[in-house]
Amino acid sequence: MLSILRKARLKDKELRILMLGLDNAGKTTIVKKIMGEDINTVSPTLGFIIKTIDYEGYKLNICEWPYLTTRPNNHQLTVAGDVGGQKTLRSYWRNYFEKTDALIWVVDATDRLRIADCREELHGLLQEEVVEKRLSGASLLVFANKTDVEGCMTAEELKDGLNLDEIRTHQWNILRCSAVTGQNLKEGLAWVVDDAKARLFLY
Amino acid sequence: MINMAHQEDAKERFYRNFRMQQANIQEQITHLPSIAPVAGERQDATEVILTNISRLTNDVRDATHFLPAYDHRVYTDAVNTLRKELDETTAKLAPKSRFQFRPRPPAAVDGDDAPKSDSRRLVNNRDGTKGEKTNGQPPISPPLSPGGGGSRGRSRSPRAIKVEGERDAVITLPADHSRTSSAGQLIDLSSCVVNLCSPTVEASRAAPFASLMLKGVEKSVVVAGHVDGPVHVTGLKRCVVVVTARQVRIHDCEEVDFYLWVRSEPIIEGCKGVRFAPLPEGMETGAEGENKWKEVKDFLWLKEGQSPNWGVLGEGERVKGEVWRGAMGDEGGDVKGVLGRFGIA
Repeated sequence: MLSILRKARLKDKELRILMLGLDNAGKTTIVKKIMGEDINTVSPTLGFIIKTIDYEGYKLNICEWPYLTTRPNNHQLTVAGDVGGQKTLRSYWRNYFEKTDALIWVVDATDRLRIADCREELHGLLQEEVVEKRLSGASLLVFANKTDVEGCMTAEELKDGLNLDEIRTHQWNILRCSAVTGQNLKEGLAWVVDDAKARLFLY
Repeated sequence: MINMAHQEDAKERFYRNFRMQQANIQEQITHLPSIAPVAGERQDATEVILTNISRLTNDVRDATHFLPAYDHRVYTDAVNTLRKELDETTAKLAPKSRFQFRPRPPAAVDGDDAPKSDSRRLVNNRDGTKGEKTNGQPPISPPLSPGGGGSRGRSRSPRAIKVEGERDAVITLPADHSRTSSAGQLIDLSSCVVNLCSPTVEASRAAPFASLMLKGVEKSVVVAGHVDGPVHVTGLKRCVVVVTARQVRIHDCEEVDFYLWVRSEPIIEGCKGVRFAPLPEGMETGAEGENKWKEVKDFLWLKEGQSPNWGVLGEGERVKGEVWRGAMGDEGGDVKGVLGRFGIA
């Protein structure tokens, strides 16, 4: 059944891209910039946002989640409007992941203070069972955002700071980008789509 | 739907069909280098092969219901091998992949046309002049460590503004400091008066920070000026903060008064007793649009109604204009006095 659904989706040339990272990394701004929306009125995101864009004949559903799991109090896992209920963002997140084709991790290249937090979130994420299962073989794109800001970390620093070399489960690429100038956003998207295409046998 | 006998047949048929297609694809891959790359011929051939591989993959996937798990894995591995072979072949034929992500050489770092370090030095602003270390009188403002200083200096751009670990100090930026597109950081300060507005330039025309981060600041007054991006605040206690920004995220703060001009709703998480007010009179930065200082969202208070963690600072409780002017001007050198007038000392 799942495979039938999946096929139907592939026929529609639809891809689901999940964008994750700490708060303040610039996820919403990246999505808005790609969509050509005004980036001056971005509000911090509680819960998740899904946007669909057309990209070279593909429908890309970009889903952006707030930062995830390992903050001391797991408060952010409670969904708005459902306080006291059983459902947490985490369970939604799991469901959503089941249908995800590609993964983008956004890191604030100016945020040296939280690079360790960022590393833990990322490695924690990659160890999630659902990620291993669903995205095995998928490459991970690390968007090093805010590189238009002077004094930001270099790709080399980020690689070390995030311990990317320790990632064995996925191929990864790190790409410097800027949600403000738009630099490399399209390129990153293209890369993710190409990777997913190769893996999911779209043709 | 399918009985046992059929399943046996299906398995057998699948096996034969698979082997045939596998051999077919194998052959196509072997011939790929002999196809001319002109006019997209080779590209087309590659796509045909890809299509075949994809079809085969789908066949294998569709066969899940009658293939034993082990067989299924063998088939899957065989397909993966084909794909790998194709990748290797095409990689050999076109050594340059479409995207290559290499870390950029840190070219900007050794660009030595940057101003010398004294222009980046924080100066004691007792008289509103950009003096050298004034008369040796405490409190002496610390030099701003260019690039975060010390051991890891090489990796930092000299334009990153970072102040860390100060006590009982007045910290200001020199008048000629250009903050354009730099990231500011104030970390672990205690009993400080920080003024990141340029003293001589009209506040509205001062070049904004690209972003600003405040962390672990206690009993201090921070006038951060104009940030043309997000402000991220963590772990402040008993402070007064003034800032103009696109976004403000506030984590784990206690008893902090924020005087804001902010374009999107301020976010608080894990805060207690934080209060909000618009920018003080005379300190407007001329930012355009709607100031959403009052539309605070508490991400930890998702129920209906007002969160108990924050409130609006009543007009009578706000620090008056002359106190601000004094603190940022002539009286700037007297840390205790200034903090006292802000009720923090």
